[in-house]
Amino acid sequence: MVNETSRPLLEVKNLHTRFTTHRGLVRAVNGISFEIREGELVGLVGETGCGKSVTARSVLGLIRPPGRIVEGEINFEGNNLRDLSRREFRNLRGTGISFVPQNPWGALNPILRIERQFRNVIRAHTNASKQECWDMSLAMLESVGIQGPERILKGYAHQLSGGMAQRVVMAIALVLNPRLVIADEPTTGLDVTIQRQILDMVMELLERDRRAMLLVTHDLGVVAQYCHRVIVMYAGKIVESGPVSEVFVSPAHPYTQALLAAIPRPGHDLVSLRGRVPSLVDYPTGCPFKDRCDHAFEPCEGTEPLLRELSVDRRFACHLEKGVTQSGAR
Amino acid sequence: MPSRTLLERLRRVDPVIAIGVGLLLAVIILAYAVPYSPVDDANAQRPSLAPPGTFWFGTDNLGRDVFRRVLAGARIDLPLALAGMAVSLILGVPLGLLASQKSRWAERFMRGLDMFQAFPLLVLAIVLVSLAGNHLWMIVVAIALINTPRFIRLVRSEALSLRESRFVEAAIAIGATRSRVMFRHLLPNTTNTILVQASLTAAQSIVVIASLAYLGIGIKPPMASWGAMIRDGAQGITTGDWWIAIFPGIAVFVCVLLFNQIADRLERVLSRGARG
Amino acid sequence: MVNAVNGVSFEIEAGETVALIGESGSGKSTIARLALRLYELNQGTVEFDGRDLTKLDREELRHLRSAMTIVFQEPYESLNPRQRIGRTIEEPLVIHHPDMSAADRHARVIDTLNHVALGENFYDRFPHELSGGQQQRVGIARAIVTRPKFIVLDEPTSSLDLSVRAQILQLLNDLQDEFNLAYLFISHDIHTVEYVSDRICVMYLGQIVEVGPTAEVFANPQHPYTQALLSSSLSADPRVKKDRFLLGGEIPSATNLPPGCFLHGRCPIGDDACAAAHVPLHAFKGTHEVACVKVPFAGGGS
Repeated sequence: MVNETSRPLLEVKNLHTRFTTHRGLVRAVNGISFEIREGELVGLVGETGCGKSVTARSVLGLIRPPGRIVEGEINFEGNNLRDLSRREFRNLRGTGISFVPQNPWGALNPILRIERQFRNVIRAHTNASKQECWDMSLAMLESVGIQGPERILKGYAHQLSGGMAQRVVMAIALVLNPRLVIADEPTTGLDVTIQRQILDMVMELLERDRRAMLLVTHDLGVVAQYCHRVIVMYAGKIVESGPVSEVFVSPAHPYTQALLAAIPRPGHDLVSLRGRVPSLVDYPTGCPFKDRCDHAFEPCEGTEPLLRELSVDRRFACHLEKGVTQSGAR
Repeated sequence: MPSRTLLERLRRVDPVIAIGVGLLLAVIILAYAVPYSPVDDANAQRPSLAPPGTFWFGTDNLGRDVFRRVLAGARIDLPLALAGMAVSLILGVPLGLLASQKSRWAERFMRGLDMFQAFPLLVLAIVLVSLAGNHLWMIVVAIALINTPRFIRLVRSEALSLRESRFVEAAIAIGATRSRVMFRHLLPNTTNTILVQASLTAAQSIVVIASLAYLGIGIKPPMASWGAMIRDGAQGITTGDWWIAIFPGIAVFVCVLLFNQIADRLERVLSRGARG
Repeated sequence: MVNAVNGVSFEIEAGETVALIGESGSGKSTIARLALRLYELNQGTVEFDGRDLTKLDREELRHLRSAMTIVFQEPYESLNPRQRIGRTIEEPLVIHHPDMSAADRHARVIDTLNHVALGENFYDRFPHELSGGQQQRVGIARAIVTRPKFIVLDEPTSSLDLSVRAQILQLLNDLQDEFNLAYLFISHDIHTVEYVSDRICVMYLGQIVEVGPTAEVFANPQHPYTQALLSSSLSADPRVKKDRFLLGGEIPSATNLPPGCFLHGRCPIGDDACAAAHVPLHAFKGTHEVACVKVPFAGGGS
């Protein structure tokens, strides 16, 4: 199902992204490395401030001052995106990599008809005629499950409900057949019943066309049910990554374990995580999770744990030899 | 992280604001510190001397030292502008808060205000002065007439939008009375806007005072006021005695500039603070 | 005209948690406000402690606000950004207990801060200096400082990170036990609601479509909407496969409600009989009630 051969579609190496603010230097992403293979659906999870959104935007080249990528490589199909000029990058967006933002209203132009917005994107990369654009847009809207797509194309953004707007935005993101789709919390804020419809539809489309997706979200359920692999971030670092079927069933990193335990389940005591996320300005030495970890010991204080292999395709960053032992059946 | 109360914010004051306010205060203090008597100053022996020379800004047609007169002008113009601004503020802010309520009184009040503002206020001010007599404090009244409605509208507009916020709803939910909501919750969150508007009002008031003085309202000769000096020196321009009108003109300009700069920086610093 | 809430009735006993679950347009947030008469009712009554809130005048209502309070969804927005935490928590005391001395008030605020696991040093801080979780604790502190009997919790954890949610839910639980509080808990999250509530009302477009003891409703959901809602939740355990999802279409606008059953048109088991007339709640089993013509009545029959 997933292409195991050759080079990965997206390869991020040692990415560091920082923001200069009046509070100081914010170390949003601190040396992360990961890969996405063709046709793979990868979930990037973490809580507020972990750096997942900044990572997505770094890959998309959307980091502007006061933010800056200070180090690292972002290789897409073998080419380092950081070496591309602005124009070359623009050409890549939409066709190679496309983006589905969190808030569909922010992505849609309120004064242009929907068909025009599709056409703008299509014409930016191809020489399609007006009719061809119309046909492509119509087909795309149908595949994202919109009834009466002609009416939608002729209409405006404000006439759409939340769910429909999100579908339209996704359709625009997919219309030029990108090989990698990066979605930043695409269903947050939508009603849960609508969310399910959209997720089912999107994932089906991606699998059918063998597109890869990097899904940035804080919703563990979505990742557990729809993604092949998961990357867990904390304080700008990757603390664990691997197949969903393994990481969510027997997490290795204490943070992953705590996160999973924090989901309310009737009959079980609620396990809460003490303390709070470390400051990204006064970045701590050693392991960023040390103050909240029940398993912290001497090396955690001064030495940063590096991401290492637990088993095939499973990595985690913790000083504990084999990570956290499973605390019992879930 | 920096705290956001007014006092603490001012302690961490932006240099431009500090310099601006400092300069204005220095000028006022200087104006009072340096003794000046327009009558004594007049000296027929030295009419219309051009600057520079013994007299930095030259002398006017009555032989008075223009520099000292410009400085003395600050005694009247600046405090009047600040007083006018203060009165507008004291009247306008509470009225603005009261007018932000959803009540019939508020509706009617705003309609009344619309009608009031339909009058050309400068004309109204002039009429008032001619009726009530040409006293210095009439200038303050004139400034208040023009600016109080502005404060009312501004504060009302801010307050209306604040009333929709969650913490105001929370205040009502804990049983706060209407006046508590207005003075404990709305007012403190409008101070940013009020401060900026106050600075802009002061700037504009300088011009109003100068204009009124130019028309002979408020300032009686031989008092030194920039507007009056500009008027007196206006003819001088055509005869080549440019310094009599230009220097007071520059004084007006510089004051307005300073107030505007302070307003601008205040707006930037305070809104940055609000965004955290 | 927007029909936000259409004929909703329910009761809450002391020390009990009743949850309202539903999506946008379900009217749950409106009910939260109506229950405290923060919004005016067009029709109906709200009885608190034996008194009808709709019959009270403004002052009487205001005084009751020490006994019934609310915690909002957005922790930061619900706090006055210019007011220190201590003053924010103290305010209800100032309003409702003018006889209390400043020292007594201060002591009570510190005590309340401790109850929500915040230290004394938070007294002088401003909201923006606190994290989301801490801000919500302040919101809760403000809601309990007058020792109320009833608290409306409007999505109190929805805006918080997962690891913080657990802390807050635990806190709410502890406070309920300690002070015998009644909670009206509004949420859209199945997991949270299942964990915290004794009874649950499922809402759709301003109506209750199913109500009953939480465990019973979740084990045995009868209304198609409830079933769809439950199947929409995704388990973080990948071994638990997601159910096939049941509802198509979009949520209709509240200004343009279909006649008869509001779910008609999206419902997998609906037919013309459903569109005919308004469907009231009927008992399905004990206190478990459903508003669906396809669901049998208690003791057989339909």
